[in-house]
Amino acid sequence: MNEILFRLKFNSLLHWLINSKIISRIFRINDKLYRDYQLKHDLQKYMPVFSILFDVLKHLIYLLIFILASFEISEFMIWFIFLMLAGFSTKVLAYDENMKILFQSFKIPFNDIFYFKLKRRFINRLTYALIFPLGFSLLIKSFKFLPFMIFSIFFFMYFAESFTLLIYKIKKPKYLQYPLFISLILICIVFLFKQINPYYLLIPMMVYLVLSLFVIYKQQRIELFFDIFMKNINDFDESIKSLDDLFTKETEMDKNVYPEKSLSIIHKYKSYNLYQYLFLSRHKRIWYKPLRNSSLIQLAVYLVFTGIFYFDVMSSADYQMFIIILTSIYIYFLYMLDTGQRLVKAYYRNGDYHLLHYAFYRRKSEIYKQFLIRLKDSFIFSFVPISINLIFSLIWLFWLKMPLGPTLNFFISIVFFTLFFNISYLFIYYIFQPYNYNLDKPKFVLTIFGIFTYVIAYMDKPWLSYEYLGIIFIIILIVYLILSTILVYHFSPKTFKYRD
Amino acid sequence: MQLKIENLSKSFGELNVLIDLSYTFEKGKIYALLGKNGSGKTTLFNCISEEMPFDKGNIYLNDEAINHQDVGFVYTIPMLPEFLTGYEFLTFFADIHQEKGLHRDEVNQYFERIDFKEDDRHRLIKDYSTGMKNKLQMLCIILTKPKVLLLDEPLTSLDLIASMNMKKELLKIKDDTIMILSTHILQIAKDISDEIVVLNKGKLIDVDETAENFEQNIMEILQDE
Repeated sequence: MNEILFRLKFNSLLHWLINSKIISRIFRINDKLYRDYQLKHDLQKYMPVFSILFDVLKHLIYLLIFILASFEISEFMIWFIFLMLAGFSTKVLAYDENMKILFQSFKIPFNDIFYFKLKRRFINRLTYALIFPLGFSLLIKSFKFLPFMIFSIFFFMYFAESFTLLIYKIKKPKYLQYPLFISLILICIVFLFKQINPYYLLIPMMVYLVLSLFVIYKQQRIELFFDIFMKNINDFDESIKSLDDLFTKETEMDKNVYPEKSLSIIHKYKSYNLYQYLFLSRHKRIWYKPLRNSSLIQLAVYLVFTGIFYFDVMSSADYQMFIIILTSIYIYFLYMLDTGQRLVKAYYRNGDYHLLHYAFYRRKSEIYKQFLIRLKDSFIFSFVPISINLIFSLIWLFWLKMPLGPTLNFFISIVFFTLFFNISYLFIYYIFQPYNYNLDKPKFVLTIFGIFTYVIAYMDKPWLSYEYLGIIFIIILIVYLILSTILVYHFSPKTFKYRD
Repeated sequence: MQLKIENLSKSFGELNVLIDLSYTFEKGKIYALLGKNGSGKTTLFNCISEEMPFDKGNIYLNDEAINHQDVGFVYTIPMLPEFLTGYEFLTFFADIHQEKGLHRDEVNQYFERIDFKEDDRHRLIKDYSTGMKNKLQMLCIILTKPKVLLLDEPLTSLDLIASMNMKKELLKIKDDTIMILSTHILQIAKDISDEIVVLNKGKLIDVDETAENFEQNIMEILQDE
């Protein structure tokens, strides 16, 4: 078992190092190491030492963090956080990929796996107890809480395992788990703020210890460990599956599709226009529903604001503030809606991934032709929110006599961000093609863009009061459009490729 | 017309899949490419179709560097946009390939060539069986009459009738194309091909199909590790 575990860990570490191009080049790590069985054999002898050293290092880092924190927060607070951390420690039977492999692939008996992991967990807690409470007590030269803290580490370890056994037969354990968890936190908070001696906590701990041991041994609940182990494996597999489904479900085509109507569409459209029309008409849940709902919400919010403007006499400073709030809500809403990205993901997974396997689809002229059609559609999607925005801006300006500057800035900001959110993902898609088929490993560029849009959505918007905001935004948008289109034209034949 | 491969090498890390591979394929012949799992058949196809960069060597079509637009690639797993019906896809495909003589008014005739039922043409591709998808994919590629046609395990998932029809279609375009068909099934290789080549240890080896102990020869090559 030790050998299998070591090789699993060694190989996965090696795989990670080889895939990390910079590290593998610097240290000249390559596939040959997989075959270096002597090295694996030699290193395996030191595996227990590595494991303990790894634990020690981890706990030393915690200690360092708490030492730094001790300059800012009280000693009592640190002990409290430490107690909470000890309480959140993982369980022996918690899901572990390697344990699953040992059991399902190598048919190692459950008992062997369990006692191996229990031993490992005990060593981990021991190093934690030795390094953290002891180290911290030595540093602050105060040992009054030390015995309690060491006891609590092992108590929580026992609590984690025994509590799982005690509640296993309960149908809805969360109704017991959550109140217990909240009570525990409340007790600790009371102890903290009332400066009660924590040694009093030993009383309920001891009561639990005795009672739980009695129940577990009387009902022979220890035999349930195997069921818990299997349940954890199944639960984990199911949650992974639902996570995978989540990635793919957001790009699924509509359920109600009527192919019998397609002949009339075929007569009306040709080539990429036909393809795009059919794509959009069969993925309405991705673009139409969000657009319809967001337009209704936009309409409702604008009506409320119009009411406020109508009944309230406002100073221009108040109006400026309203405009800032409204713009923030709108941008935040666009960010949350994420229609641009969902549509692009569906383009890829449901169509482009397959068609990029054909030579014709990789031609520069074909890519560009289709890009322009999709860009045009992105503009069309922006038409409704921009129209609503235009109508209300005109109402506020000419009927309600609101100041020109802020109204104009508001209108242009909304136009700018609506277009920006709708077209940016399309540009990124063609210039970087950041997705793989399962959409679960996006390229880093998408993360950077996500952070960038997040910052725009959340940051303060002082620019809303700039006098020349309209001209600036129009120039930025035009330059952005031209530049991106040129980039797509020149580089997409090299970048717009399928990834598995 | 010749497809000339010169000293082609491709490695994945330490694993050398193609090693200084040289071979010349000629127009008008169907080549069956045999090899064990993982011997590099798909890698060779990916290099020829420029879907994968190679480490060393050259691939020429008529003494000019190959262009991926000259290559038609039929994949083992059919690659089709599943939100379309077969009819819509073929119409779209015909629209794009008008310069190759395809016409949207002839879509039904194209379907007849692969024995596709009328009702099936108007069903969504996502509801097709793998065999139906394979037929449609292969039809699309065959219709474009590529100069080089690569078929990666194309006939394995087809039923008997479809397989026979497809063979007929392949034979129809044989004279104008260089056709390389990879397969695990020796019988398919023997039935359809003019030449049999075995990919082993990163190199292509000719096998004489007419030799008495031809099957034995192939087994010996493949077992020769």
